[in-house]
Amino acid sequence: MHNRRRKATAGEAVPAIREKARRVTELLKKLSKCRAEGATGDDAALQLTQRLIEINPDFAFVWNFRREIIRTLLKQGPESDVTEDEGGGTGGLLCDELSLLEGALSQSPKAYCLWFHRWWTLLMQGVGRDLGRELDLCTKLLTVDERNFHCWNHRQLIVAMRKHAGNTTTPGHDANGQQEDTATRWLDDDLGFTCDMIERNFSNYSAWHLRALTRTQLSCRPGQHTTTGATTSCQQELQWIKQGVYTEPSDQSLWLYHCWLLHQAGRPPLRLVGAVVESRSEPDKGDCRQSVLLFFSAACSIDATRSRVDIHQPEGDVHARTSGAFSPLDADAASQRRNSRIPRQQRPLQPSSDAWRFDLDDGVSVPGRATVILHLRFTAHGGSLPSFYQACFLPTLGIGGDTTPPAAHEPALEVTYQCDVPGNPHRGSVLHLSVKDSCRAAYCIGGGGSSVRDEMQPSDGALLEQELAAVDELLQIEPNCYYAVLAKCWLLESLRPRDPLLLANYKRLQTLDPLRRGFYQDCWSNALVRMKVLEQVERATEGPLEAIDLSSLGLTCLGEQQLLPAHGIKRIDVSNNSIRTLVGLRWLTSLEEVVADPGVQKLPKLRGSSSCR
Amino acid sequence: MAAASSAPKFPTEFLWSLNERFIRTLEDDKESLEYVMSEHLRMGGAYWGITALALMDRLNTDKNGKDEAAAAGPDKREEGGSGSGGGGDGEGGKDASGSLAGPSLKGQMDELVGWIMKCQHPSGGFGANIQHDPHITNTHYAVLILCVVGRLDLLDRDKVAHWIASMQNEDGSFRGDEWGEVDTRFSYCGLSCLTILDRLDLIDVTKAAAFVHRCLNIDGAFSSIPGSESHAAYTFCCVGALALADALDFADADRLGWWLCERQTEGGGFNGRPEKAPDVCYSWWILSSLAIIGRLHWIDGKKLAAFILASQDDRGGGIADRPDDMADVFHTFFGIAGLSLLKAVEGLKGVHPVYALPNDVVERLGLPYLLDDQ
Repeated sequence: MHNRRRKATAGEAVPAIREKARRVTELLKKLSKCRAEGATGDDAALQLTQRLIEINPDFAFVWNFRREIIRTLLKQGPESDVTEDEGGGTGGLLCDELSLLEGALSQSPKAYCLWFHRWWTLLMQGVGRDLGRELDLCTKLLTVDERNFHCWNHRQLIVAMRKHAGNTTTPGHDANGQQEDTATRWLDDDLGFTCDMIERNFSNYSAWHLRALTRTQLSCRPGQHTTTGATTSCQQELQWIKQGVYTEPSDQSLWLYHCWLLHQAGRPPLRLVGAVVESRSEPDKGDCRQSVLLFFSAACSIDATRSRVDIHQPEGDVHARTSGAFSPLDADAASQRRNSRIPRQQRPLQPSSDAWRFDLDDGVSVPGRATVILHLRFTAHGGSLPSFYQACFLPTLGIGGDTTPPAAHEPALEVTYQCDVPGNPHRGSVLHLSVKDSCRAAYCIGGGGSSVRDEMQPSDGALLEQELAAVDELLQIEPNCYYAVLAKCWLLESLRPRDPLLLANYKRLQTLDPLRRGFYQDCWSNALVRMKVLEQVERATEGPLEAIDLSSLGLTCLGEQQLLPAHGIKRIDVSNNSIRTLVGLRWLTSLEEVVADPGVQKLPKLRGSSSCR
Repeated sequence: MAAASSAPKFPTEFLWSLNERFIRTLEDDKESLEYVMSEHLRMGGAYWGITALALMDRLNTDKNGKDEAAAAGPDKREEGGSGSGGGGDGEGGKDASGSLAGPSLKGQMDELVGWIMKCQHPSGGFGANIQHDPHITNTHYAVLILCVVGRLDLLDRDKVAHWIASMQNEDGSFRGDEWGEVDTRFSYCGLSCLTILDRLDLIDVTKAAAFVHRCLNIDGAFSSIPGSESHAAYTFCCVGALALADALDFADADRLGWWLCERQTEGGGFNGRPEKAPDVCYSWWILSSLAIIGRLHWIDGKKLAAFILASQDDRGGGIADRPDDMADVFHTFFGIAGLSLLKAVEGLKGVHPVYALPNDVVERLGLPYLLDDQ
């Protein structure tokens, strides 16, 4: 029950209301009886369901009965087709159903059952139907309530259905190009639709959402991947948002979209945040083995059979494929089940982890001056990618006929990273590689070679600098706009991650927006850890860095990525802080000693490995 | 909207007796229009009411979940014995639960359990009421209630589990019922039920998680179907489903966490989508999601608790969607569950953010804990 004021319904005792309740109960009883008697082919039964639905469109069981009746009636009239004939028959039955629903939806635009029944009716009609009319209905209803969640969802389903229909009605090799054109045109139409909606009201996040989704899908299409084109388009979007931001600086919809644009610009969804070469001695074998450790911004699955590591030595121009094996950095953790009731045979074939190791075979090692080139192919977990990479979704419905799901993709992502071995390697047994070009990785989605493209948006510093200036300009007029301060922080994170301004702004956010103080504290803490770690790493010019001191800094959390430059250390002091958990230390594989406050969640075990120097 | 803290006319303490009485008397007037019109919500209503009472520790059940029978008597819990709840209520008395307290309770539980079992369809799924069609949400509610009252033994587990498994589609998603609606809510219900029944072998868990992953949006939150807008309630379903499928690494906790904490509005309450009005029910969906990803500290718990408390009806009891609105059992449960996660009211039991069951029930049933803390 939503939005019902307390006094408005205090008159429950009024006889008319009691009378209505009695009438509804009677109708419900009648319906039960009717159904129990199996009167599914009965027109009177259909009328009865309609009366009840008009009283309460949320009665799911009434709709079920109605569908049973319609199904029976459709079977009874085999001569009439299910298409959109104007001339009555069962085709007329479904058409009538749609008109009835159109009226009902204007009355109760938020009733789940109504929307599902409409979708079901459309499916019963078959996918050959003119779906433009259906999209028009959505547009009409969105004019009345521009955030109607059900209507937006229905629209998504119709868009998917249209694409599905396009795929099944234009088969053959020749039609492929045309099909691609049509798909791109539809995406353009959708983009235009979001534009109309946003122009009407800048605060419509539903429309911004569809816009971001459509833009991503468009950028995935072949021929849409030019970096300069993406930059221009990104600039145009930023310019457009600016109009809204100056009108309503505290509107969240705009800033969420802004954040998405910047996020795209600065940080692709999966980044290689660091790579190190770790050497360890194996006493029983009496030799020294090397591993390349890879650290990512998110959990991923490396397809070991289709990934490889090449070592390029500029002197002598030697380029060699290196033999070895990929595995998650912490294989135990990767295979551990938190839900112990998932049967063992159901483990995904590909383990997933945000840190991986490539163990070089015996006798192979990374030379002092070289470039390590990683050709990695990632399999999407369980064969899935988020919807923003996928243009088509059509739920499988158990009603026979057009239930074939869209052709199964095998989504994957192919990235080539180039890592240089620095001139003077320090830090004992650990060699930090400098990762290059991780932001310009090539993504391959959907398996087809044609869809290989550049990274989604430019990671172009100039664009980000420009935007930083624009945000600063806004802050001159609106100094207390916390979204703008946060946007500034994110820009600085990408551009100048060691700028002390970051710390000051995260502090300021804690007073500007006290509701989310805990969030800003963690952001501040991460930024400070990054700065302190880099400071101590750089100071250790004389020899390997053995320990990091992060005590008494007022930290609230420890991030893996911020600590990564210290990889190779044996001791860390994080005492006298307000840290909740030490999980952030898990990438520091050579740690032997941790000094922490009592009560802080400890790491399960320290994994100090013996090392050779 | 009036800020909860600055409006003294709204309750600032948890109204133990009134809330208990509100839940216990929900079924008293079966001829009211309100009751008749909620025919399709009967099973959900039972779950919300029973679990709310359990969190308030007013179910009068013993450690095994079995009825403590009449021994406890109506005076077992005096008002004021529950810490912060005392004094502020202005109710002054004991035994506000009237006819439902004490000796009649055991009979009531038996009646409830008997009714639930009558809602089971021959196919194995449960309907919202007797003679209703089976649906995955109602099946989930029925299983949860039986967990709370300690009567899972009544279930033919295989039968229920097979019915749920029969709802999984080729792409890993779940249908709500034979009519084929697809929604991430159903994924959560399916995974939760089959974990509780220990029959995850009947479905493809990896595919189930993969479908939920497809509903991840660019803002880090999740939607009902792939491509639709992020929504707090569906985000809970998806994050819960991922936790159950052991695939939480699909979520970008920082990004999702920011979207979630941005749901808190000036008055303290949470909305479900950007630029929408706050509503008590989101307290649960957002807090539980934050708890699952370990970022409960990213919001202002005190202000949220004040908003929930202010949404109580200080005359009839129960909690509404926002202050001064009509209370209902749905918001009463989600408000209480939110207060429980916030640890804002002394005497409320802890609730598990994935299962939406009291922690002691999760422990008693030996369900996988799924989370880092504890």
